[in-house]
Amino acid sequence: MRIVVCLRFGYDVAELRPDRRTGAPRLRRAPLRIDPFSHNALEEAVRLAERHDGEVVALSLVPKPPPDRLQLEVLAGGADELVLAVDPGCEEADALGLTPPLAAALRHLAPWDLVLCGDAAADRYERQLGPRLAEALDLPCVTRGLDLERAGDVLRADRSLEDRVDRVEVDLPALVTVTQEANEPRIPPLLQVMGAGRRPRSTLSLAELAVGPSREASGTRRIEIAAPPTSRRRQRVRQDDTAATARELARLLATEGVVHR
Amino acid sequence: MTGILVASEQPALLAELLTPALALGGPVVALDPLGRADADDLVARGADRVLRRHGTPPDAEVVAALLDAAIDAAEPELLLVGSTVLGAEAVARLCQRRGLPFVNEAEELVRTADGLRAHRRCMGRFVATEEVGGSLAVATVRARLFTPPDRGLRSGEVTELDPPLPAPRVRILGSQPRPRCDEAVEEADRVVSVGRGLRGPEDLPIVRGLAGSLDAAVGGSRPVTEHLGWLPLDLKVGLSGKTIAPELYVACGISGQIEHIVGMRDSRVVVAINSDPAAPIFEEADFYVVGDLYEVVPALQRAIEEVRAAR
Repeated sequence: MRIVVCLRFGYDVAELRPDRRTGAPRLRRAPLRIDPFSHNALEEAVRLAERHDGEVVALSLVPKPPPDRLQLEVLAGGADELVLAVDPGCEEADALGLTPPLAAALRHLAPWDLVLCGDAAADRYERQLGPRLAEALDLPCVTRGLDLERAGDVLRADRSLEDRVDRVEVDLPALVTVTQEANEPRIPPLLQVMGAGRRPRSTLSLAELAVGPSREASGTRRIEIAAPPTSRRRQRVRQDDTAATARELARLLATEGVVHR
Repeated sequence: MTGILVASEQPALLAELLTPALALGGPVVALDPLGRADADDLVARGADRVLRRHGTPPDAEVVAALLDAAIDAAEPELLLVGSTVLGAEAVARLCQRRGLPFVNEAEELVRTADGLRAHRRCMGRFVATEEVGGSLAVATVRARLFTPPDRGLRSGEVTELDPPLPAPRVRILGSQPRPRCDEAVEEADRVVSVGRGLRGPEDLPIVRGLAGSLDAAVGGSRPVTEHLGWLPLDLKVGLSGKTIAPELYVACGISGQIEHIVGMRDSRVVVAINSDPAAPIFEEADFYVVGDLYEVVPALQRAIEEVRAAR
């Protein structure tokens, strides 16, 4: 069973601070990480591959290769191979623009049985790349998938919906976007970390993929990005003891009109 | 006809979508892809035309094909689709087929000369202003962002759609309803949420006690709902869970990771209780107490009960 995981090396959103002049997030020195949604997808792929004697190829579209430490983290996490498709302008592209190079890279890596994506990217948060890839590659798609299981030529999964969880089945090949509920990514054992450096890594250029830059294929115009100022009062409530503090807080809440009769 | 097409398989969300559609102006066409909504109600709330199909399988590819047919029938300039699991996949497939971008979970929608301008949340605490346009501008809208327009005496046309549709490729083997909570956290006016400051699920009554005194629903951060399972997943407040905007939000023992903040920052009044004086949740609070939730929460419950008894 050959599984390709589409991974994002993204920003840790908790660490992003607005630029004092433009209000936009300061990205220049912000450290990258494996996006948490991607990490769940990688873990799910590795668990499936372990049960079915399969292989996992990690694919990422990147503006430039990420730090070695992150590449090794993907391999140590269980990927057998890492393929980086390099598109220098891809951080400024939208999901419409990212789809053609990623779809081309997936075709380049074919044949495979299954493509896994994260359900979103915690930083970009467009929440559409998985089904767009499924449409571009004419694949059946399960979004919000977990508990993946292969049975012959079909894949079964739970699909987490608003009010229920469906058990669903699709013929392979297929694409699944993995929810964060699916698993807790492993902390790789030392032996795997040491072995990770020997696993194959390669890059693909847009020319090799015969596609244009993702930025030019995008359709969204970004007007502005800023952190809205929070208007919270940040008033610390503190009296002589806990009971008095609690009474003061209750009084404040009653004044706010949020304690009802 | 040029105007706005709104679509959702969830009747309540479909009615909510009429509000931004009417505000943006132009004739409004509502697509009820699974035939579950009350067409007369949609007309009374402002839809000039309702397109529907009964008995459609709840499948994203099928709904995408139905959206495609509705666009051909209504020729709208704008398309708003309810952001549900099914709706989000259907709109992504449709937009990929038609070579269109779309704005995910748009807010503050404004019509421009060329299409649609909207805000959307991304990069954690940031809000991006984005424009999409061309032949058709598309956005998804999440549930409960708008309230449905009032009913009035209006007339409209109801059309049954029956285009050729593909066979579903995702087969549903079984379905299990999520454990329903007494009160959905997203519908409550007041919410008391708990995080890792709680030592174990056996201590939940402390938080439930405070919630009871405030007539509040109980919610939880990602660790206690997803990883530890102390509370049902249904009650997760945050980026990967529910986005809520109650009049009062009390965060007990929640550190305030951006994952959580994104889900509660539209609350009117925020109270935070945490033993860590440097907890980031205090940045997002109107009132905060630095202290052990095991002492502060029961004391606050008693104080609230006193305030209510005195009224």
